[in-house]
Amino acid sequence: MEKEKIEKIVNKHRNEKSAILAILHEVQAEDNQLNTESLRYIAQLLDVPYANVYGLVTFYSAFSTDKKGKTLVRACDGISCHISGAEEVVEALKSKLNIEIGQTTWDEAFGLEKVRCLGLCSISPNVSFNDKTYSNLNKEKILEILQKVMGDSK
Amino acid sequence: MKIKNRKDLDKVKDDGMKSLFPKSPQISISMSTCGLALGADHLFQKLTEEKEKTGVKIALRQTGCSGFCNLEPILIVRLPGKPGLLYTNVTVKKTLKILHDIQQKKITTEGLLCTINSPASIDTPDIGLNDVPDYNQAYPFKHQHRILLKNCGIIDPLSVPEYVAMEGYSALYKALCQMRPEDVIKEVVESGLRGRGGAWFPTGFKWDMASKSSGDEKFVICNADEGDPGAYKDRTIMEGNPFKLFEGIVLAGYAIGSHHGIIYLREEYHHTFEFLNTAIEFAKQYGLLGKNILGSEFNFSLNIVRGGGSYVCGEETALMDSLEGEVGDPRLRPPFPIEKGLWARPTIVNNVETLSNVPLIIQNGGKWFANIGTEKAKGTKILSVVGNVKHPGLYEVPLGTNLKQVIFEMAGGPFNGKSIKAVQVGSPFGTFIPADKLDVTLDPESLKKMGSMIGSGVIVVLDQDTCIVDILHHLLTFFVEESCGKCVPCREGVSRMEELMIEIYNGRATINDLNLLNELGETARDFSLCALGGGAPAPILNGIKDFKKDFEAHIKTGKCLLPSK
Amino acid sequence: MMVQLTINDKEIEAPESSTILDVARKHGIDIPTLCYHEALEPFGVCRLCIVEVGGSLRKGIRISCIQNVMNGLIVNTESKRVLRNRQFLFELLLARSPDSNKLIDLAAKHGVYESRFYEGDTDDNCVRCGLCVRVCRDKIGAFALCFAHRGYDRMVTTDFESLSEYCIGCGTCAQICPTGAIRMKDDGEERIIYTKNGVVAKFKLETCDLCGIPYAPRKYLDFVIKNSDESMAVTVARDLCPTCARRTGAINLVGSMTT
Repeated sequence: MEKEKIEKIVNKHRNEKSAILAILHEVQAEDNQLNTESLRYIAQLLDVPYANVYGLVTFYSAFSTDKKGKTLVRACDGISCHISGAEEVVEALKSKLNIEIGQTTWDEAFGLEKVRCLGLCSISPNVSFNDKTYSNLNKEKILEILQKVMGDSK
Repeated sequence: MKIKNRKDLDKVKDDGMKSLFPKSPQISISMSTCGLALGADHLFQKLTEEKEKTGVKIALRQTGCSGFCNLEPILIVRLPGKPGLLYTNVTVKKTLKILHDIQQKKITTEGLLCTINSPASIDTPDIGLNDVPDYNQAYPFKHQHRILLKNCGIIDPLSVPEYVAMEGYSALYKALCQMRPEDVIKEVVESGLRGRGGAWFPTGFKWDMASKSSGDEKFVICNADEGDPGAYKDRTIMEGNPFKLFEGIVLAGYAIGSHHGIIYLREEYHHTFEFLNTAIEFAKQYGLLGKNILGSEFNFSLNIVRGGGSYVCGEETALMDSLEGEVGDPRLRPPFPIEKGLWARPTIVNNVETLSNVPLIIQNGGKWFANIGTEKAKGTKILSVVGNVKHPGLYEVPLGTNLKQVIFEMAGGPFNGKSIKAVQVGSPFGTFIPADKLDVTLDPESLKKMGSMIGSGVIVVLDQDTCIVDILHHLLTFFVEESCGKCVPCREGVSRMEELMIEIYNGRATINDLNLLNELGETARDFSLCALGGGAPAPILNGIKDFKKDFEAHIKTGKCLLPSK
Repeated sequence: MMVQLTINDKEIEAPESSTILDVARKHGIDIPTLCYHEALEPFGVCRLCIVEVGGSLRKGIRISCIQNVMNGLIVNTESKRVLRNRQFLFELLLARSPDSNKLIDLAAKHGVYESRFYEGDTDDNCVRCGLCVRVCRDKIGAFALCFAHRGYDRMVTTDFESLSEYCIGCGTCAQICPTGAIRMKDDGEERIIYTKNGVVAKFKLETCDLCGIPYAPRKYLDFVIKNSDESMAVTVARDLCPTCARRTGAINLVGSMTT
């Protein structure tokens, strides 16, 4: 991400060290990743050692130093979703996208993650595609939704 | 307008009543995370298009989550002179029919679950609605004691007037005008309220200690991390009645002498984050946050910080580290947060549900609250009943209610005529209670005897087709994924438990391995630094004891036990 | 204020503000530790220093490096329960540190000779005690190391798991490491600090102006000069190895005494 954009985000949070989580969220949302250059620059602006920033980014599940797919597919793996058949839904996603959990498709269009939990436990299984969530899923429904999302993104 | 006095508050209440009993037709659609996941935004769009096309005079509004997400999308129709009408599982077709019927001055009966008569009953009830139960008598809301969830799914969650019409902010007004901070604490102590996030710590005692801690700056942290899988009650409160939570937070600040509140919100709740920020802006506009709240001398600011995706950050000291821009490593205690918390200042950390109880306690009195529940467990608890039941959802009941009653009478029991195999109560750390031991009351003492706890109120029902070994393995992967890795017993011990569980599942283990699993569990239970490592072994070790047959099947054959007929 | 307590039936008087571990060690009672060092704040994560308490504290197991003493405290550092659990902890640690002679010796001293847990060949001998991270951060002030990832994958590394720009090459981390997971090697004019997972930093060593041997990285010398008082800074700025510095210092001292 360009230095000016990072500066703008950091300035918005008054260059406060404690706002680093919010800063990382915003930079990642815009850039789809938190690459080394961006993280080093954020560390410099906040006067925080690089090692601290790296420790943060690798500790929290929400952050990734790798490029996340343009559409991040998050399959809920909470106990309720697990009981209702989340595994079948996840296998369908893995098979159709041809990637494993934690990976991104070769064209960077899709990334696949497991998450616990989305807080929709009475309408499980649940999967979100970026900010759009779908519920009461099964193998057929998720493939239909994936087809539509793939079509829409072309 | 900023509410500065009683007169202003009454004016806003009037506005709210007009909104809840409008002079012209109004349709509200539930647009929380759950509603949106089931297509509510699409419905709203279609309604808007139809309204523009036909020119029909109808207001389109939103409501929040009711806790029964499987009834979503929920649609409420408000017609002049009639109680609210609540429809469930609406589709585009059903919605357009309802709209059409409204134009024809008819009432649609298909999908009509109940009427909504609160906050005030209609004087001349409609004969045509005689057979339709009121909300409080309708399934699944009946049998419950919905005091916290009262407005969720009924009012527009972003409407301050509607909340005030439902007695909102009368507690804060009373506190700021008529009570001293110590009086507020006294009521909370008298109520017997205890932490609803899992710790079960006496709230009034915590506030009392914090109010006495020295320091010119103190903090109120609302723990909205809601990490327990199966739990979503906090999301429902935040998306269904956020102002109730804000009122509770400000009351907490007033009680302990803090002017800064932070809501630490679960990273996965994207929609809730945007939504709460909007609600805060509305609260500020009405003078309910910021300077001179409700015209008093008391100032209080509130902001929201998103977590980074880490279950351990639901633990209060890890949460504070996270707010300070660090990783979520639980701290050694002492010192305790009430003395040295956020940035070494006195801090209270309370759960969403705990804080939301406070306006009710101040409004009705601590004694009133203490009359609900049992002698040692006061008030209601929101239970999140999920898994193999006919009617999963949020059931708010007095503490001390029987677990069997909740599962069978309220949630309808298992579907397809199956029997229950086990129920996990409280949290991921709760023991899986076998089917023949479900006759237990939901209070801490009774549950402790079963290796369970009230926790966050999650109730996971597993039917006869469930493999306990699979479930326990799944649970262990959760603990391993979420461990911070700081201390040896949890990092090494719980991970090795998961390795062994995989061997057991795949038929590559022996009985000796079960003994080793026990040793690992005991070490993690007794010596972990925090409750994650300390609590993780209990459901596993108890599960091995109570579901021997499941384990024997896997050890001998590598396959699940056949479902019992 | 002094308090009276008993450790292993021995009556002891100790200052109120001390920990059980401090007091025990001062009286020659051995309690094993990995993550504890007198120069650093207690971390309380290895749990090896567990003891059994009673008397004025509720009966149970406590972590002795963080538990303060009090009047009437009864401590048993070798009860059956303590020994059994400590041995189990050693088994878990050995599985992470299978090649560390230091840890193997310490475990053997406490009756543990092998581990029932899988000894992965990717394990790096690091027991995640945090001494290196903490000393680098809290005492040296270089901030070169951190904990990254979480849970079982938690590891000690540099920023971005690459060569560190912050490391000054002092080698304190290697000195303080209880298992030898982080090491320092001087080979001719090169110093390398490394773990099994990668290299922390590489340095060219400055040579002594007098005897010509390579002795310290430039970065380290500059760091000391910048962060020390004037007399130390002047000493270090002379570009002499410690031996020559001592010798010239002694000669000067003797010289000044005899004139």
